[in-house]
Amino acid sequence: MSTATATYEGLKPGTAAKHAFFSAVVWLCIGTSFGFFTSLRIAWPDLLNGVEVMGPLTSAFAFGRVRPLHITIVIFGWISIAFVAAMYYMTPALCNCRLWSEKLGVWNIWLWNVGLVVGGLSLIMGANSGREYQELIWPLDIYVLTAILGLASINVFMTVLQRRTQGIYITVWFFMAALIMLFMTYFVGAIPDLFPVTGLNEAYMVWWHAHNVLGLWITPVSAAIAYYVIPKITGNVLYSHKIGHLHFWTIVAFYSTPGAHHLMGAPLPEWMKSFASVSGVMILIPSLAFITNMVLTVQGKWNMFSSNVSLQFALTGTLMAVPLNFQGAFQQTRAINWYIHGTHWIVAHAHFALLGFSTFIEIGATYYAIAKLFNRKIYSQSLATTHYWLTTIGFVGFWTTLTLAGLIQASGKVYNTTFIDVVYATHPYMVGRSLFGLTIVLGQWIFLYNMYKTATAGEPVTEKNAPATVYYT
Amino acid sequence: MGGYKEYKIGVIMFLVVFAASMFMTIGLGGVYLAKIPATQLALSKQVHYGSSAWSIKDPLMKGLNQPMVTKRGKSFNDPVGVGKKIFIREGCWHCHTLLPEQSMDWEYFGAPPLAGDFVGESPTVIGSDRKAPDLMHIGSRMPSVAWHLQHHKDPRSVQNKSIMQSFDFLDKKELKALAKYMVSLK
Repeated sequence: MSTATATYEGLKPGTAAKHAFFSAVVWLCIGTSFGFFTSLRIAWPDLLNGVEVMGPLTSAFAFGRVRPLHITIVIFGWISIAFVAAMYYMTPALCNCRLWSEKLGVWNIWLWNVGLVVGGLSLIMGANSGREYQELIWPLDIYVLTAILGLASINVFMTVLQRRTQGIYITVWFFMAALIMLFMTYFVGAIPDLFPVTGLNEAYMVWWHAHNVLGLWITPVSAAIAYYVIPKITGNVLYSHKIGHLHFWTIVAFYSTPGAHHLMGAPLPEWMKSFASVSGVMILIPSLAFITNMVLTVQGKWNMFSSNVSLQFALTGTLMAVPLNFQGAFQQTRAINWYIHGTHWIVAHAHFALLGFSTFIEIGATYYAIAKLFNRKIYSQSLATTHYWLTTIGFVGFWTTLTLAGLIQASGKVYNTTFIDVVYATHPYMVGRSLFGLTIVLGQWIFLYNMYKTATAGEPVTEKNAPATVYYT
Repeated sequence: MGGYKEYKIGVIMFLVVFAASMFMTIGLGGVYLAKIPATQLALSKQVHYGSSAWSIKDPLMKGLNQPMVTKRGKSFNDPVGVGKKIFIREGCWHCHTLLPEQSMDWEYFGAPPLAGDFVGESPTVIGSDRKAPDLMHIGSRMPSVAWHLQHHKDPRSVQNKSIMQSFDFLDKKELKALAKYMVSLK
């Protein structure tokens, strides 16, 4: 297209993706660090209270204000920016063209960063919408829908429209569909902020949004990234296009419907709960389709799991989806939900999805794309492996301690144990969770250092030392 | 998109399937929930809380735009409504639920709410993660304002195993409003 050259204005292809990947990794470090801080405040509630130097910051670092900060930064900072970074990198690659506008992309990412700084400050100053996972106040909701999601969508859609390929690869279907679905999901979540929707309807919309930020954005885009990274690195073609179709259409059709399963204990009508519960089990169809497709794509190349850190992360994330989705599909049925609802089990499950599944795949894509974008080898393989093991061990320990604490809470709830005794019994697990959390946080700061060094001091890739498929190993 | 017929069909199918899925959940569910009539409790909450949501008129959520009450000739914001706003601002609902569950909480935390009890309330902050006791009927279990004041200032002075942080950074008026809100939750 003739407009393609006009929109470059001195920016090299890949500039927007570079800005996006680095912003995402910085937010990952900040977001996980705040998560660690909130866990400390559960383990040692008086931490920082009454400390003279804190002054007015005591209120800003109170548990109830930092927790939404952690969630907002991790979901809308790290995960979502890394998704858009992947879109800015993979969409042009798969459409055999340039990104529609690098300039718009760079603007988009910096508007996004500014939005997160403003949003973060507003949250710790106490401006909270009171709706979980959708805690930004309504002026910021409008900003997210327009300056952040709107601009990113325009860029990705225009890139697809000017493609120079016959077909559209599965990754790009997911990118386009997920952008539309996230826009709708975020809008539904913002409806109670913008319009006078109250009562159970408000609660229902809030939880529909909370469910679908995962179901219609994080899950499909993580999968889309795996659909690109895993065949690309192994050099194998995607095992089955048809299974990909099954995955895509089942996500669109019924990944959004189980929103009400977050309100199983609330006085919603029974038909809504039953409908949500049954369609919640059906989530297994897209997730198993995805996992099958990925695992069969790696056939004959499993040796690369230990030699290529990008594949190591992406495949670990994909395999984590097996226990994650079985847990997710069955824990929301009434038979199990009444037992574990509202306990640390759920917190463990949420981290399984966001950290175990999604973050691992995105980290894999980040290693791959940063090496490609800067045309350099990864600065340090040993730091990358250290990052892998710190994150993996940290996450597994984190999940295990929280799940055990959740089971203690659940049995306490069933046997009408005095509540404070349950709090007391789970306290050691909260300390354990902080330790494993620290392990994860350390890994992410190492990741940031390694990525920074790769961009500035990694060994440049020339024709001589370039391997056939990827830039390192 | 000239000539790529299969993508036109795909795009239309995507929109139809996604719209149908949203209609079934948000559409049908929303219409049903919007028709639920308000109970007496919901009406009383509407009177005390007003709108608890963030507003431009009250950017730091200090309770400046809550309903006014008059006592001994003085007019001020209803402390119950101000307390709820502080409950939202300080993120109390990240640990305390406002929802005894239908399945098992009857004996311990009291009767679960009726669907109509929430009409007119926004945000409902019913919570999801119960690291701390449910507060829907806290005013019946702990009817003393003085106890709540002490508990919020120094939780471990009244419950030595508590893992709640101290809220001594709130000013006197805010602590009092929060305690009054707690006591109002019968």
